[in-house]
Amino acid sequence: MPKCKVCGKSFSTLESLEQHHRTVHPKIKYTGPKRELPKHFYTVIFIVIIVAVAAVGVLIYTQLPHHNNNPSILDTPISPAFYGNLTGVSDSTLNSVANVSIEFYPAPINGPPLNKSGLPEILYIGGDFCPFCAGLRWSLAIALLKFGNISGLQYMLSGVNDMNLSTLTFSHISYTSKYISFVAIEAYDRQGNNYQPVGQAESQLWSQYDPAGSIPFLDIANRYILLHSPYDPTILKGLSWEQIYSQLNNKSNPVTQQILAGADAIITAICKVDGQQPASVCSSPYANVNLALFSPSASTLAYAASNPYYQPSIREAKIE
Amino acid sequence: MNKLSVATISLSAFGIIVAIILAYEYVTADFTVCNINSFFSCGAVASSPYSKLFGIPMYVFGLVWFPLIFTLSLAYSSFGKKEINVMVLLPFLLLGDVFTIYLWFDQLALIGKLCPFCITLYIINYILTVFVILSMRQ
Repeated sequence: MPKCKVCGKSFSTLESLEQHHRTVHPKIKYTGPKRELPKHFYTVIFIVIIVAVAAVGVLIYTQLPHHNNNPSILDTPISPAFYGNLTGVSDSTLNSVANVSIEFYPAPINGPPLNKSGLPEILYIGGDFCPFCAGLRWSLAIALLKFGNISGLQYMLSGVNDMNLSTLTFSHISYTSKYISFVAIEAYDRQGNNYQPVGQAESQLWSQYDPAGSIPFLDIANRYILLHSPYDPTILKGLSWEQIYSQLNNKSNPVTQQILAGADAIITAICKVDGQQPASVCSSPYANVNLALFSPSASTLAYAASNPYYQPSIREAKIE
Repeated sequence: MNKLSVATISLSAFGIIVAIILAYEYVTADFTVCNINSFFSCGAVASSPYSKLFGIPMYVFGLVWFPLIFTLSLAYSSFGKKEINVMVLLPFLLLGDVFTIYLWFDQLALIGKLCPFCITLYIINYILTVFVILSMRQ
């Protein structure tokens, strides 16, 4: 029962005590009786904090990059499991990300038709060290496998100081397809040194559509160009090859969503240049994404301008 | 009126306003107010796949959290007339404070950018916790 600290009178409620104090002892500051907390309050608080810290710890641990790649297998053929996961991306998974937005879509251009051996030519110029090429190659390999077969894909990591991203390299590939031809040049090695020579015809296209000479450079039959990774490649940071390829059919994985949304955009552009062949691919929702989606907001452009790697994308937007 | 109760209610109301502005920027993808430079950039954080947790965009947590704290502080203090109910509010706010450890990690370690409006919300939660602890000492 609360008591008045001044006169000792007892009251049934705190409110009546306070009213008494203010009326009878107005010159003395009312401080009221100290609130009594339940006996186990601090124990409960302690348990709440421990459980919350443990939960957050588990959450952080699951998100931490656990890179367990073995660099000694760089430039060696990717495993059958790796290749199987690239070819095994289901139509249903590709369809599920058809509306997922990515940062950069192939932009339309109006160059003279680019063909090789009578087929529309897809020209890729990149570099093993380049993190944006690392991002693009995942999407591009998956896209190309919808139109033909790739042999000679090898393990690669982007440069040690360029995020060390798990990827594959096109430096020794051979591509066969009834619908398109593919020319891949890795112009720089993992250390950034000159690697594969760029032919005169390819060099001309590269400087025409990308005067800055940045990489990656992807020319889809002179009808579309992509001068960037379709998505932000930093999402690959810390992930091993296996952690990426084993998830390629996991529709809810954010990394998978970005890689495959990039593949969808490239497949759509290829279908537009090869006469919509094969029909089984080009009639699918994933081969009909809206390439006009690339309308960068002011903030994206501001972000791009602040990052030298992103600057080609501004030009890309202007071409469109 | 109890000053600390009123301050807690007011600050959680301010949290609701900031959370709504942040949600509006996410939904409209217009971050003109919140992009200070390439590092302090809500746009860069929002465009990252790590801006979602279990598929839920982070801004949703703010939209749920601050109305919850506002309602609890309002209801358990008789609209600011009485002291805040420490037993109800403190465990909630401490949970929120601990959860911000993950949010800091997410932005600094995974995304590599900071979202100023998000940080404002974390700080509001820290200040609310201080208010409630001060209320215990009264």
